Amino acid sequence: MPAPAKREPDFSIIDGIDRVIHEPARLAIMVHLSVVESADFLYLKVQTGLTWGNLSSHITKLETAGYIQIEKKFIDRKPQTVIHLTDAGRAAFRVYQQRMKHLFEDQEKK
Amino acid sequence: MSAVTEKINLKQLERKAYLSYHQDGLVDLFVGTALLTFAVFMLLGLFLSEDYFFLPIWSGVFVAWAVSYAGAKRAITMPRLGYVQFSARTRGRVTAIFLGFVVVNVVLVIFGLLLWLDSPFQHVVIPILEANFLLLLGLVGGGIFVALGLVVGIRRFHGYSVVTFAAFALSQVFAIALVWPTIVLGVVTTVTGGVLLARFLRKYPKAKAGEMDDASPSEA
Repeated sequence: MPAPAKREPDFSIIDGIDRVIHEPARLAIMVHLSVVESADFLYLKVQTGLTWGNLSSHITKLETAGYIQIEKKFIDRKPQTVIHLTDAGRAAFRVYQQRMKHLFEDQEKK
Repeated sequence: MSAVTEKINLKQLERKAYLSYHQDGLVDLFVGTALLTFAVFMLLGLFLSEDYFFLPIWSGVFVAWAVSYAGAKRAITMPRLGYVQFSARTRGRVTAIFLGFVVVNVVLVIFGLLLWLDSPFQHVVIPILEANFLLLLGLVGGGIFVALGLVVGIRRFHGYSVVTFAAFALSQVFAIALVWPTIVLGVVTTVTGGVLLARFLRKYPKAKAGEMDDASPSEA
C-alpha cells in the first residue's frame, strides 16, 4: 500500500504579508509611529522596550524601505532627530493591517 | 483576528502614550502649589482686597506658573519619555478643553454681570449665592476636575473633584473660612503630585548623554 502523499503546507495565504513590517520589532515601531505625527528615538525606545542598537538597526531597515523618514529639527533651539511615517509607510501599514485582518477572518471561517 | 485587534488597539495605544505624559505628577504639583499660594494670599489678606492690589500679584503668579510648568515638562518629562508630537485629533481634544474653559468662564462672567444689573434676579439670586458661597465654589471646582478627568482621561482628577466638593461643602456646613478647604485641596494635590513625580523619576531614568545620538542611523 503506497504511503499517503504528504500535504505541503499552503503558504500562499501569507504571500501578501509585508515582511519588512511583519518582523515584531519593526511592527512595534510602525504601530507607535502610526498613532502620532512624529517622535524621537527616545520616545520609540521607551514605548517599544527595544535596546538602542536594535532600535537603530530596525529604523535603518524601515528607512531603507521608504516607510519612515528621519529629519533633523530644532525644537526649543535644540537639535532633535525626529522620525515620522512617510505616506508610503502609512499606506503599507494600512495594507498590512487589512491583510492580517482578512487572514485571521479567513482562518476563523474555515 | 481578535487576538490581533486586542494586541494592536491603536486608539488605546495612542491614549496610553498620551496619558504617560501626565503620569509625571507635574500638573498636580502645579495646581497644588497654585492653590497653596492663593491660601497664603488669603492668610496675608491679599485675596480679593478692595484696593485691587491682588490683580498684578495674581497675574504675575499665573505667568510664572505657566512658564515654569512648560519648563518643568521640558526639563523633566521630555528627557525621560522622549519627544513626541501627538496627532491633530489628540491635540484638538486638548484645544477643546481650553476652549471649554474659556466658554465656561465667559458664561460665568456674563451671568455675574447680569446679576449686578438692576434686575429682579439681583434680589433673589445674589443672597442665595452669598449664603452658599463655599458650596458653590465646591460645585464649580469639583465640576472643573470632573470635566478635566473626563476629557483628558486622568482618573485621579475625579478623586480631586470629590475632595474639592467635600472640603468646601463641609466648610459651608461648619462655617469654616475659605482658606482651609483651599489648603486641604492644595495639600492633597501637591502630595499626590510629589508621589507621582517620585514614582515617575524612578520608572523612567534620564537617558545618558550620547546614547540617543548612537541610535540615530543618519548620524552613524
